[in-house]
Amino acid sequence: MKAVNGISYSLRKGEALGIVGESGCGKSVSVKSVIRLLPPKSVRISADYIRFFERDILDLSTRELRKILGNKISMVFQDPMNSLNPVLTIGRQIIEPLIIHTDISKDKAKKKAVELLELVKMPDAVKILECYPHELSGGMQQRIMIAMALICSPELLIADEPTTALDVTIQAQIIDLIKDLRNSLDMALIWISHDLGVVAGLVDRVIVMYAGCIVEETLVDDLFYHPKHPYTKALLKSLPCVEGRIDKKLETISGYPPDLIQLPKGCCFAERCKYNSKLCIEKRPELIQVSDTHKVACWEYVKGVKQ
Amino acid sequence: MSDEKSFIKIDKLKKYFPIYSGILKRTIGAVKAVDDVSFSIKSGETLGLVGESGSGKSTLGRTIIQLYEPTSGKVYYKSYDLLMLKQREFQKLRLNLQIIFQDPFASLDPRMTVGEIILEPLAIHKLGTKKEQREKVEFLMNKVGLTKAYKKYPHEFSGGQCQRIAIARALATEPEFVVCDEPISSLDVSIQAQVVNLLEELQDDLGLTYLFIAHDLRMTRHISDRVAIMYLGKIVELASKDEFYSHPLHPYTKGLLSSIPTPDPINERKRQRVYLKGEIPNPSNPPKGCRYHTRCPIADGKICREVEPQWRDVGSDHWVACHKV
Repeated sequence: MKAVNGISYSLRKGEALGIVGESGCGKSVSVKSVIRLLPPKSVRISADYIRFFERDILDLSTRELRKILGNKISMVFQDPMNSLNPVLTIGRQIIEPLIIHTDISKDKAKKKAVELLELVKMPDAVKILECYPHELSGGMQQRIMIAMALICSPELLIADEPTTALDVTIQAQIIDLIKDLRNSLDMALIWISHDLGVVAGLVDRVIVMYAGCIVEETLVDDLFYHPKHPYTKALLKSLPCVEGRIDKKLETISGYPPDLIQLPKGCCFAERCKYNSKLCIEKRPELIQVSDTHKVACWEYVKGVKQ
Repeated sequence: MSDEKSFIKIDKLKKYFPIYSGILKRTIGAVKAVDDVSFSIKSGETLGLVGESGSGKSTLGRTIIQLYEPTSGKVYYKSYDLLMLKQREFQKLRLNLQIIFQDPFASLDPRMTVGEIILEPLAIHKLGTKKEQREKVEFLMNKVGLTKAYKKYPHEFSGGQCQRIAIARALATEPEFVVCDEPISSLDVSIQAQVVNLLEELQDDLGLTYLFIAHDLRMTRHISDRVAIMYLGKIVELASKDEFYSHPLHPYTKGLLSSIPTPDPINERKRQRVYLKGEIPNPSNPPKGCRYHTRCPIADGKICREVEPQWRDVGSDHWVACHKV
């Protein structure tokens, strides 16, 4: 199964990047392979390089990697219920990485834990330390996951659909929280989501993925106001909104994403695309630069190719 | 008993789930999942029912079609009082009241083929001969856009396709009323739009009435004729779609609407949210007075804290329960 097929991207210090796509498009797998979180026995990762501050993550020993993960790079997952240990108190779970990554005493660690919980705007921080995960709601659990990710003031926070399991009201609170934290801590952010609306106000740049490939990469404003790839256009159109007029029918993308075990020879989206031609089915387009900040993988934008 | 116009009418419906404790399993309290709710659904319309998780919207949907026995209150379907019917009489009406669940994988038996799944309701209710039943299944599969699926198993299909199977099964008995319990929440955006369009087409073709339960106000706007908002077991606002989205009255509705992310980066960056503080309180011990006062930005004084607001019509069939409106 080819979950991710030859993707390249870079992230500047302090920048926020959104990765958008439907389920099974490889958005989680791509970032998890970047930080080598996937089990090495069942997954084959090949890359020219995965660089983090001039160091290649692929060359690091497990020990060196451990120093970076949780310290310089940390991650928040989709389901907080499954990421927290149900038999340990919140306090123990926050203090554990603190003691592993820094040399502070238990008392100080506890104080720091309270500070972190206050940073993520948890009410009654001292009381929460004594609680078990099941005593808290999903939104509060996710705040704790974020607090734990921020323990060592990471350079990069990776958030893998952190709000998908939450209600819209709680989602709005978490998004605002992340915005505030980014302003005060100056960290880079990779935010994975399947909801284009969520990334709109949050990130600087967006990557759209489809069937393991990047199909479009550009600044957030360009993506929403001047989308180029037919898939991005169709995704934006299938989003219903709460303002403005509504058409009787929602635009849909017909069909389903391709089978990742047997990817088509040509463009993966060709089968569902309105504008497909013979070339689209025969040859896969590469991601090409159409302006300084805009990349797109579609034959439509390749010069000198007649559709 | 009920007036002619309303198709489904719910009157002071309550559903409490008792909480037991100790060896003797004494009742120590109750989760008031649905607490004194009244409204009606007109024939052929779609009523959107929206709320946060834990607001009781699924319980309400299930109680209406008698999957749960109500604690008290009345449910009328056309001229029938569903609670007064004998088991056998109700069995006949059951054909007309169907439900589509949220998780398409969990609601389909993995060991039955798609054909068997859609055929089962026909077999149970003994509708038609074997040949007719089979033709009906083929017809339904075509209707929901599945081809050559009769002998396949649910795991061979994606989430969106499984939801189509669940829709075909719900429609097998030719129901008049279908409760759609978050049928699109677990699907991808592009697939959501497909399923919503399918539901709309089926409604036009077959004259169905829907109760569309969702937590997504964007899709609800698309599919519904009227929208109801539920909070902690109560309906706090109910209005026609246009009225609801252009003049929301209840502060909770405003908060919900402002929490929805929009695909518009410039607006999104400068937007001021009507900030919804905190989270939904525990339904076994709801706040006194207006249930929303603990999170409400405009709640003040004794009245909000102590007196339960009345459910009233503020004109043009716009219902709301708030002291400050």
